[in-house]
Amino acid sequence: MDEALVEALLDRDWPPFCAQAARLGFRQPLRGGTRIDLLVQPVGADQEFRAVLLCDGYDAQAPLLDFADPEDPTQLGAPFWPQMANAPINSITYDGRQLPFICTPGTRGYHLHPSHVAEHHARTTWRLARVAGLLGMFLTKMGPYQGRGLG
Amino acid sequence: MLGFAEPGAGPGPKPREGEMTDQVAQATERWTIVVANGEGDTAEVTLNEHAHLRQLLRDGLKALYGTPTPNPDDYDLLIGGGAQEDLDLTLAEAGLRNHAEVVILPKDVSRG
Repeated sequence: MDEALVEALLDRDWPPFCAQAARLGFRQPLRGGTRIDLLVQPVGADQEFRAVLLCDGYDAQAPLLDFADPEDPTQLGAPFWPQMANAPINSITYDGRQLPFICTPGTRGYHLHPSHVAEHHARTTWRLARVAGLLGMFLTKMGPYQGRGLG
Repeated sequence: MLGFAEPGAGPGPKPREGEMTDQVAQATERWTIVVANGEGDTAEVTLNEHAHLRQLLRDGLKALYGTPTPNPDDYDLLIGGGAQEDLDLTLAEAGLRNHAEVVILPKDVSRG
């Protein structure tokens, strides 16, 4: 992993990502190093969720999409994901824990899953603005919303 | 003998030359709307403010993807993050303004 290259790529993709996030009704994303946090509200929900993109290795691998505890953003995982009834959710064991992922190309969980790891996708598949679009589809079109936390 | 009055012949000030044209122009203002797809690619569409969202969706798909243009029935138009159910609303009725930005997303997600 080339940290300077990752930083440069994130700098390049940050403005279109923020623009796409605004179009999708998300609040201004927050970036700290290679972590990006977005406060989002699924259609039908009366509470906010904290989506997190971990973009370490962004030069060579897709961002890891997860959700954080709004009260303690260091805590990540399935209990903090919104449950969207028609979302194609799967999970893998990653870094010693279960990582949920949306079963469509664009985030790390999908690309690391044994069913998909042999697939070849262009790096543009996980460009930040596209990941924002994927998150937008998840939150607006895969409902109805059924609560916080994946079973 | 009865006749038809000429425009401006009735009571009140007579319109100045060009005034009616200006009024018509103001009543049919053209707005430029930024359309984005799920990948974050953008294009601009210029429409009459009274145009319907259905036309924005159709013209937006053409601006983003060219010809052959994807079937609008397969796509949703998102304004402020919400999918618009009523595409018969005008741009103004839907709360859009000149230089507003919208997103066009496919109804179905490609699943792995």
